[in-house]
Amino acid sequence: MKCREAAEHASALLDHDLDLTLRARLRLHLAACAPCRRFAEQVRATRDLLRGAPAPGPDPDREDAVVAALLRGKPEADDGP
Amino acid sequence: MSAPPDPGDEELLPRLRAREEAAFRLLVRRHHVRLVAVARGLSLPQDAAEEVVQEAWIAAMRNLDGFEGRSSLRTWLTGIVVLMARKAAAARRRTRTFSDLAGPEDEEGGIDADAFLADGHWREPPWHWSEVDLERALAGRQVWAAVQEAIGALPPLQASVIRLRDVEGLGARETEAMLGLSEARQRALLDRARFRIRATFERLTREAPARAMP
Repeated sequence: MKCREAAEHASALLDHDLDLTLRARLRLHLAACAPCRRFAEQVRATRDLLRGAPAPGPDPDREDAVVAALLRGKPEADDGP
Repeated sequence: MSAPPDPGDEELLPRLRAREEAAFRLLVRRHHVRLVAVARGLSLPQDAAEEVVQEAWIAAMRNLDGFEGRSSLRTWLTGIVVLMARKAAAARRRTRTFSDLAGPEDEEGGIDADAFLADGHWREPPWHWSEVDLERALAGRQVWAAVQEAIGALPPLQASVIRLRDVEGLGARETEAMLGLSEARQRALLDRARFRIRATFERLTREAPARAMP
């Protein structure tokens, strides 16, 4: 396996989405290739950063409006029919 | 003041069923912003996304009995938002299916072809960075904000797939049910999206001033 192919499979590896043979070949390559290990590790770090980043809370006004709508059980009154 | 510290979403269920304001507030505080991000990612402008999510909140809290606990409450809420946002987006733009949103760029991206020599080896090994370097490069800016910006720069299908799979942590089957994209199609889109965002994070760490060399 060449580096190019190894890098292309680095994302699928995270999801256990490679067949057994391909996974074995990839692991063999990664064991021997520091740049590809680094790349694969960064793809994992990217996924983890996406998953781990806590979302901020809404603006207090927005939060109040949504909670009020929930207590009423319907959206904010508007001019519609 | 007397609320117990950080009850999990599922622990809130009895209080949500009792329509307790503090429980609603906690759930909204925890999930509203990311649900709006999900709706925006399905090609709704900010105000329409806010509207859809508010309607989704009301629909969800009215139908709590429909929550069977097969997924987390978070995933259940996400599913309702996806459904309603797609409907709203279709009404606005008359797109029939989610795939109609695809841009030509969705088929592109991934790893820069120039990164490799003709023989398949790295032209230049990837720049050395890790999570810590990225956080330092952001200099106090929230990772969430950097993630939103990076996803926002992706083509539409890649953005939606990576948002559901990686940010929301949904499985391929759940994502297929929500977006109607096969697992194979998700695979290609998710790979390209992750590689692009990896490259974005790499650029951020490279451009950061005063980076300590390892």
